[in-house]
Amino acid sequence: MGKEHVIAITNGKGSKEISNGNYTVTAAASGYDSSTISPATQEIIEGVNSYSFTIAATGTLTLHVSDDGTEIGVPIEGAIFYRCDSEGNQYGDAIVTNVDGNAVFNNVPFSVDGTAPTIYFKQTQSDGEHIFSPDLQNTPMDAEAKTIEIANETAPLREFNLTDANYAGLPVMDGSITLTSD
Amino acid sequence: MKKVKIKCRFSNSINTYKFLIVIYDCNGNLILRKSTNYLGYLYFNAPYYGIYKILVFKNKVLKYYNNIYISKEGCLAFTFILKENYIKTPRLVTFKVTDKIYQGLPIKEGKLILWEKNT
Repeated sequence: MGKEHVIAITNGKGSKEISNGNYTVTAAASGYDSSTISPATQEIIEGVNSYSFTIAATGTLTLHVSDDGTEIGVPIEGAIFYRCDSEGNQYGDAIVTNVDGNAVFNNVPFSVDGTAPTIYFKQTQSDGEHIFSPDLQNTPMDAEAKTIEIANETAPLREFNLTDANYAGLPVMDGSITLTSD
Repeated sequence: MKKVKIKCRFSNSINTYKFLIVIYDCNGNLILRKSTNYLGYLYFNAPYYGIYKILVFKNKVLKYYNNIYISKEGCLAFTFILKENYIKTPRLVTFKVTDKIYQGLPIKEGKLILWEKNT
């Protein structure tokens, strides 16, 4: 191969003085599988000064959601999570906990030696009967497969009153109220 | 041998014709340093048969180079269409690397290595 040009990438972007021509592309990104860089060849042409590449990882992060944040807690099904960047911007599809309370993020970067990549995520919904933190959370991905515990505590007991609209204060003897979340 | 009159024409994809042409023989001797006319034509006298190196400059920047071979039976007129892709002037290029699965997610840190292909 010919001359090599190394472009440092920070927060997904890097720049370098480079001339037109055909290039073979390789990559080294913390926690990612270098062989997945795409495209693997790139022609730099006149008039085009920006080029995009993608790369994939093979780690698996499992979020186990329960009512007390422990392995033996009651699992919460239907909690929704998103992968985020450090600013809290969401990427990819929603990941939903299954009947065992597990939400599985596949293809996340990891490193068992050296600095472990930080994986950011955010919960946007629980099952409706439990409360959750909407804050941006993170964990260092220091193993190829990792499970962390997330607590969604039981929502506090609320009281609902249903009275007659025309006879103020007169309680409705029998009935039900249905609340649907947005 | 007597001198051979060679006719050359130069243009690029945006129909620019005015170039400075520098010609060396195979021993590196300067044969000619002259601009094309406004139609892109240039004439020069080749002192002998053989290989000549043609350098094409635009605004003092080398844009293209090639060798031509002049033989007794060969061509006496050459046309050079300068492809923009062959321009070798480095310029600032931005590269973006994002996650293939979580589309748009920028990688935190890393490096991209471009290996120039020998074409």
